[in-house]
Amino acid sequence: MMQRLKSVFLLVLVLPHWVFAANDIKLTASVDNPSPRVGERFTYSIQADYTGSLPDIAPPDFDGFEIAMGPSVSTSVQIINMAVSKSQTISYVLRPTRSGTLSIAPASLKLKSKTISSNSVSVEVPSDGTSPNPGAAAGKGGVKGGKDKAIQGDKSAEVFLTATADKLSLTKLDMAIVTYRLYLRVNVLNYEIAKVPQATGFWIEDFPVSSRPVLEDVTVDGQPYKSAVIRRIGVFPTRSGAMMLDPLSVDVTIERSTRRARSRDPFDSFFDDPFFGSRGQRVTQTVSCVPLMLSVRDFPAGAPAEFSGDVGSFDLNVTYDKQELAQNDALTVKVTISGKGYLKSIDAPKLELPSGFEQFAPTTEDNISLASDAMRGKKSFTYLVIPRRSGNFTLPPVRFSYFDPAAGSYKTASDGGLDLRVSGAEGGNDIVYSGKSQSEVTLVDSDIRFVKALTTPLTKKSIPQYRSPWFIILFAMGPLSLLGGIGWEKYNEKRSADPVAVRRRKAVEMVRKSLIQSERFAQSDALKAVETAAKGLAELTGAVIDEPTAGLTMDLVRRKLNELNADADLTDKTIKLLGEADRIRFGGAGQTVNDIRLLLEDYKTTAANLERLK
Amino acid sequence: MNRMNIYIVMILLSITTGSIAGEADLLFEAGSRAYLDGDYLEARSKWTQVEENGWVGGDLYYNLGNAYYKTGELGEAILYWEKAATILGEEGDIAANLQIARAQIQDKLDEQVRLPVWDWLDRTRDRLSAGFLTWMAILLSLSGSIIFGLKRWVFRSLDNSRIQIIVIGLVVFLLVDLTMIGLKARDEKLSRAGVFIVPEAEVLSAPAIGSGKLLFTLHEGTKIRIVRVLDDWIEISAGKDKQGWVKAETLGLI
Repeated sequence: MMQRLKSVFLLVLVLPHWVFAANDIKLTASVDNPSPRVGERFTYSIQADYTGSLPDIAPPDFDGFEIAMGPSVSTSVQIINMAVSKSQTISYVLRPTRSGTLSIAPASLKLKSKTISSNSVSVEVPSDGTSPNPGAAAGKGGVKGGKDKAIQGDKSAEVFLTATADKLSLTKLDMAIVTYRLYLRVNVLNYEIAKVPQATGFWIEDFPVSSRPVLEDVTVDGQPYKSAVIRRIGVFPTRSGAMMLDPLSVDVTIERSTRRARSRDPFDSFFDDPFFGSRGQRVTQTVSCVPLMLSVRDFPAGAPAEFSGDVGSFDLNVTYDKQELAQNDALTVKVTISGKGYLKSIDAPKLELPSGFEQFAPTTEDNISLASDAMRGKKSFTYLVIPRRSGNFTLPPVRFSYFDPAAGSYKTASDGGLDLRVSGAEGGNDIVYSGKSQSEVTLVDSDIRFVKALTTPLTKKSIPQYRSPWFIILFAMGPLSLLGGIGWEKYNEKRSADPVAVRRRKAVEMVRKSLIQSERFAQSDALKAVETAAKGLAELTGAVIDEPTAGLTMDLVRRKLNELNADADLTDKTIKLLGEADRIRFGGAGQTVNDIRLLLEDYKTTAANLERLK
Repeated sequence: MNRMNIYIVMILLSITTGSIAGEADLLFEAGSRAYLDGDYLEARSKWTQVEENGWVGGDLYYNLGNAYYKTGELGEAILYWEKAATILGEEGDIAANLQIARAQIQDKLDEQVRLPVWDWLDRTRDRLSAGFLTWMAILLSLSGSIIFGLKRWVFRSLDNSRIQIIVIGLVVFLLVDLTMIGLKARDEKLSRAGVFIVPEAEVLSAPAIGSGKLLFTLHEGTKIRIVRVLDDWIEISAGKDKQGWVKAETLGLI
């Protein structure tokens, strides 16, 4: 009962303050960095301390600034000695867009007819020409920025991530090295990059980073941390102005339990086997760094004609494979650009060639690597050039212009050109040409080509030669002759294969010759005429009955001719004529020339009949 | 260079190239003079007379193409340049003029897909005259026969493999030559290609106006391949996949 009375008493005491107290409102504006650089982020806060209700606060016009984030609102209520006070803080993350002393006008609110304003805030923005201190950006300033973002005001954050750049103000296409560093006060089992920054407006090149980060002991705001670099990139801004590199986000797996004794090294279990490394509850936390602002300067005025946006420090080397060559032979020109800078973006320098030279598209080779502080290497372009005319020519120097950020000026590298002698095809006089290049001929109109004179005689339409009979005859003559020859050859081979037939053919030939000779001897020597005819007939008879001529007897001839179904008259006649020479020889004279001729006719007839026997 | 000089150059060219100033040549020269004077109809008339008298020549066809082009007849112009290309090859002036003319053709057809060997055969036999092919066939036939005969009956101890290679080579050449002659003989009966010489031609599905459906239309200057001829109808193949029948008078045959 007494307790309930106490409560009612307190309520009676407090309630009038809430209901009837005057609504006292105070607005205070502040910034966390009174001298930010152009493009550098800082926080502008409006704190409203009030007791009653709070009308809407009208933000000031942020002339000279760009709102990077916000507004974010936080509210707190305090009751001290029965007095209730409330506070609301509205925060904007701003970026100065120009240098100089910039003033942020007061924020205000309207309470009934009364306007309550905050104080105005001035910031000193150093001019672009002042170079920021890279050490500060990479060291404490960078850490602070990263830590603020990571732990959101909690000074006891276990893990946070920072992004630092070796330079925050640079020329377009110059390189800034951005280092992402993780800070730890707990055991981390693993980490993984969750979100790679958007690289809009940048070319990004990754430096190699060890897969097992090296830990360093550091102290941040009095707190001991382990720190390791987890990513290192080269950033080449492609646009001028205030350029923001989006934050990197990392998923970190933390071990929370502390029951067992732990190693002092937070990365002790970083890459250990999870089975053995797991000693308590695992929590995965995403940490991000703050966006990084870079102030990027455009190229200064006065760029040489050959300048095509290359930035760095380069050397040029040009080699020609010959100084003398024949017309229409190839000349190889090799242009090598070496040094440090964004070599990947270097295009082939243009060769200025005299008219009458044909140039082919160059081939490109490169050997580029990211060293500790810059992109270094070389890029070579090999051109094939063919002179289409003879003469002595001067090839103008190859020129390559670039902007050297260290010197803050443009530089042009060039070679000495080449005096080239091109010999003609055949004894032509050499002509000296100037180094002027050809220009495209503009076509005004087009028309068909002019008519031709009669360069080849007109021919009369006629029946094609291949339809002529002569074509068939001449064309077939060769192959037909060949076929005939082969046929004849085959026929002879066949005939030569039978010895009986061959002997018979020879005997027929012989008897014919014998009979011709006998005709000659008929008048002068009757015996010789008959002997010659009889000899021939004997050869033929032996061949017909297939017996040796020397061994012919009357009986053998008769028997064999009978076997061949020879006519009896033929057999008798043959036997008679074979012995006729002996009869004349031993019978003496009495044979007239006419008798001999009749006898020779008998020989002819008999020989012809014997030839027919098969 | 004034006109007189051009006349002189053209006449000298004709003389130096050995042309005989016969009636055909005089007509040809008259056509050239008319063309130079800008009288393209007269030039066309003279050169047409030369053609109608039975004369053939790449220069004649080329000039006729020019005259037709200048008188606004695109189809005939392309036809004659194509004819000139079959004799002189599609290069130089002919190629340049055809390129200009083809850019004005209304029809755009997909390229016909042909094996390159057929194009090579077409080009080769266009460039080789019937006389050359005929004498080449006779020469190859005789030389092959003689070499074979000598080896068989006279020089029996010669290396057989070499002679075989030579004879096989001659036979292969002879076969190619005879193929060309065969194709030329076929070309006499049926042209390989044609060009539309009318402003618009209807392509039907059958060689009859009553029963044939209208498939598509083609326009002046379009070159097509000829498939076959039936009376006064010609079956054509246009582009990659279009085929149909057209009236013969709509086409000029190359």
